[in-house]
Amino acid sequence: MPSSGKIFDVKRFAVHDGPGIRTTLFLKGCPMECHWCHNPEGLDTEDELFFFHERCIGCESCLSICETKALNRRENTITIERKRCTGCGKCAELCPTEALKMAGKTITTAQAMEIIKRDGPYYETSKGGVTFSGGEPLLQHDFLAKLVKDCKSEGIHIALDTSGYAEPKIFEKLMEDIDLFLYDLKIIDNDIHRKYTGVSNLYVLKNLKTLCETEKEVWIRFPVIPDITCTDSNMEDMIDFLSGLKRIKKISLLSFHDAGEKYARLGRVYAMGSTKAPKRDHMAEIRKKFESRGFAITEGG
Amino acid sequence: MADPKEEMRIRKGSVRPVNERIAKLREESVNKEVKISTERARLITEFYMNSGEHPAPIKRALAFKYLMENVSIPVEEGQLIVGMRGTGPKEVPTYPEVCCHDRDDLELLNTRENNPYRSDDTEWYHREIRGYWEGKSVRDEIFRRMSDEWLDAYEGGIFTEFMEQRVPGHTAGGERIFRKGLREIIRDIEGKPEDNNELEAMKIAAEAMITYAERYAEKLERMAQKEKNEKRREELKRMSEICRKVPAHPPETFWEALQHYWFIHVGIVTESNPWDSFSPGRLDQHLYSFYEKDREVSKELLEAFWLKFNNQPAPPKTGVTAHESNTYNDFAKINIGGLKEDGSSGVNELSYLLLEVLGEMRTLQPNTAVLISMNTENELMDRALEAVGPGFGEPPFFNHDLTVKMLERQGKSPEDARCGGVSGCVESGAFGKECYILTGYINLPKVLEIALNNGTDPMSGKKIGVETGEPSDMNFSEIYEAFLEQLKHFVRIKIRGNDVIEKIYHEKLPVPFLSLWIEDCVDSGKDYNCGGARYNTQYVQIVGLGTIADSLASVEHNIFREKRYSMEQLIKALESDFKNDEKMRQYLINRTPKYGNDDDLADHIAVSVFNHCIEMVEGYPPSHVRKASRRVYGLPTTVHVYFGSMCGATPDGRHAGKPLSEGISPVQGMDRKGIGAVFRSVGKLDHFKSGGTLLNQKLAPDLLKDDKVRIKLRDLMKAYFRMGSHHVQYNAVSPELLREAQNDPDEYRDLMVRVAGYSDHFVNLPKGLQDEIIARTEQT
Repeated sequence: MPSSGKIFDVKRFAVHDGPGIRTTLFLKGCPMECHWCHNPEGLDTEDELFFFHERCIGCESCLSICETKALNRRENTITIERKRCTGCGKCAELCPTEALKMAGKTITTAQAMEIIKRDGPYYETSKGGVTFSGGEPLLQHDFLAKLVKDCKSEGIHIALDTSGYAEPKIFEKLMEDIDLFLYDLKIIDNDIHRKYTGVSNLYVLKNLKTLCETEKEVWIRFPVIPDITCTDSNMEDMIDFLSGLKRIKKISLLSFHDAGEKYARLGRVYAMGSTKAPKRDHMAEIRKKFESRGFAITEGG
Repeated sequence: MADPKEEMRIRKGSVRPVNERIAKLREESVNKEVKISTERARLITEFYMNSGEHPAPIKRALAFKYLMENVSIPVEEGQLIVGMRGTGPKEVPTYPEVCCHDRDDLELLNTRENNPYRSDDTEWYHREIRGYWEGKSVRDEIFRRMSDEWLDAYEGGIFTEFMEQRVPGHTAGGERIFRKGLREIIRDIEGKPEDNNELEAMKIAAEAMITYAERYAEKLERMAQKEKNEKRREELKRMSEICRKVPAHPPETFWEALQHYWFIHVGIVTESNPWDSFSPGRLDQHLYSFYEKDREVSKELLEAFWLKFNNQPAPPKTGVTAHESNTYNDFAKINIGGLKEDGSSGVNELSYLLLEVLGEMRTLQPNTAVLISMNTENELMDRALEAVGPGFGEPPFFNHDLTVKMLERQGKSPEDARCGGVSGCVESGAFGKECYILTGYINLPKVLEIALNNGTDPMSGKKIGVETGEPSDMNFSEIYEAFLEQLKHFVRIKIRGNDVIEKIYHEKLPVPFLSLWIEDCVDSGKDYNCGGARYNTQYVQIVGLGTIADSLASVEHNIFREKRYSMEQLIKALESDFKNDEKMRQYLINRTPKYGNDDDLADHIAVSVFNHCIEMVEGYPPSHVRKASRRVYGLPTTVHVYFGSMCGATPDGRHAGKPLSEGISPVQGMDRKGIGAVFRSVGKLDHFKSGGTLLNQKLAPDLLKDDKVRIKLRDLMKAYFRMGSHHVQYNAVSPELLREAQNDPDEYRDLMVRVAGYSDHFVNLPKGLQDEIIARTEQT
């Protein structure tokens, strides 16, 4: 088991990632590439460079340190030639304003546990715990398994925020020690799923079925993406599929929100630039549709 | 993105007085301009001119008698409680025997943009009042008797002095106030050996207050005779009967209890101008037995009572004191919840009713405090957080178990400690039994500045500190030692000054009326200002803990660990206010460990400075007159802005002149890891060694809208208190709304925000303070 892994963020006092007060660790890397992904810095397994142009004071500390000449001066700021950037992070190390900042940090399980355990007093009063999110945390399944084991032995409640995309044998092995699954279900039709996420949903559906045969607690999360996930046919499929799983009673609706700025900071192309967040009425309509079929709905987390 | 208009609509919509009468009284109270009332100044001056020689306690008692026999006795139309300091709502008296304003002071007060005090008699005041008191006031005496080194430090912005314009007070009522009538106290006094001026003075003061209440009884009776409206006529008659009964005799009904307290409150704040005001203390505890008998009208009476506080703004301050506490708020504080004397939860129906009244009245005054112990019902915290929701910063939350621990550590009995609470901003006290005086703020970052300049204040060029050596030759622990050495020097100066001032008050300004209500003044036959209270404490308040922790962390991290810069480079950059060193400044701001992020390096420095301050202050023997022990608070009011203006650039990247951090909060905008990390950092301090600490947090308004999230916030706070922390208060206000209010103040006159241990109208705050509040990190 590797004793280290890669994360891109830690959120303390996370209030939407499970019961009570959570500390959420975001593991880097995802096998999917959903068009609407709002954590694009979690997609790649390699470290990436964020550039917050508004913080740049044009001090040029970064220019000479770059070995591949990926950084260039332009007026009072810089530009990044992404193709040349190796993600070595030397420029971010020098940047005084954190205009250049690395997404991605390798930490040991011991370091991760130290972070997680700091919030123990909050877990205690709120019946909270740790949530592993991403990216897709199952991609670093060995690292995750070690963290899960360590948290378990500390008596910390563990939630996994997952797309369910992992080989079933890996999923099943990890499943044991996890207390709660925040399971993202996006699209039931496999072709459409492929189109918008880049991968097949066979694992996703199979793993969810397996999970529902256990006593594990599962909260379904449904991202409401206009014209993609909340089409009539997808919602019908979704309701049919979930109705067939006996233990699913609750669904959280996660409304689409614009993440374009983050993509720009990473130098990535955003496919959803023209999409607007669903209106309140639209959300209510979707809600009603699920409720009429016997599901309890919450919005957000 | 928050919508300021919508946010404001929600805020306004939450004002819901219980009925039309209260709504009307509230409107009048809120809209009225603050004015100076010259009546008290005229009366006290007349008295002093004609009274002849008397021992100080007797003289003060006779002065009080003269006031209570002659001050106006206004009645607000429709009010249910009577008695007022000043000639009408928001007409504020002055106390020339303590601090005498001159023409220029009054003109400045009259015309200044923020929190003006209108007056039209400035010429008369200058001639008649100033003319008599110049050189005779306590303030003049204090400045005359302070040493040169004290004056240098004071003028250099190292510390301030609370007692130079306001008298020692800072206490809250205990059970005694609601149990005893003045006749009984007079009998107690008469049973004591004679020939005690202090007791004789207390007796005169007690009788003077009975006279004042009788004057009201008669006036109300006359008003009743003329009143056409039958309902009001009956009310006025009832009020007149109440004034004949209390405070001469103990109250028996809810209404009587409120009127009884209010007369005493007015007496205390007319006798002198104690800082902070006076407080009813644990109101839900004191009033509960009355409330049980009289539930129906309780809410209306409480709201009427509420407005009595709002109609009494703080007496006008001048000079440095106006900077350190620039507000109309006079800091009367009502405590809600907490523990009973036996250690069980004190939460009762009245606790919830008080929260309701607070949320529905939304006035500048009175302030409140919600006391939370491990035994406190979750329900109380939930209701209190709901009140924070459409927020104006009230109520703040306190760890009552810790308050008890603080007081016990200072030698109070467990029972007296449990009956205590918090007054002013965050100041723990044994209510009704303790004289705990705040003496002034100490500017910690400025002390570091002096250390980095080998004892010289770079602003004035004066050597006001001690020579601790050139910092460029030092390692980190030597720099830290130099800082402590300078601090020791200034604490010594401050404490010496405190003792002289205590003596001045003992000699010139006993407070016989206040003494009647604080145990054991009557029993011991000693005045409150002369050591009569059961417990005596003297505080200095440390300011800028976040700034000093970040500054020292920056020196340790950047100069000695990473060796990114040399000490000379840093000193040079500080001297020029980072003129050509913006890159360095950014590095100091962004790439350096900061207190408030659960980063042990910076947090441990905060802990170490905090402990050293306490050790240093507590190391002094008790004061000479009151035998007061020396203690430390961590609160700022608005002095962090003034102190910042007196302090050059600091090693944490702060520009010269900019505000310091406030209370024990992290530096504005530097707590970047969320509220959980802030609580962890702050939780590392040994709060129980102080007398109270203040933490501000700004929350995104959305956080409090969601019931589920609010419960998580409650649990977070419980954990924070379990870590042994003392206090937290919230501003639930978006930065967009605050910016909008800056641009269009007229539209946002009602907008209230948490400043330090109190809330204030945002548009009334000086620009620097507005900017400071906007700069605080918004926790999402």
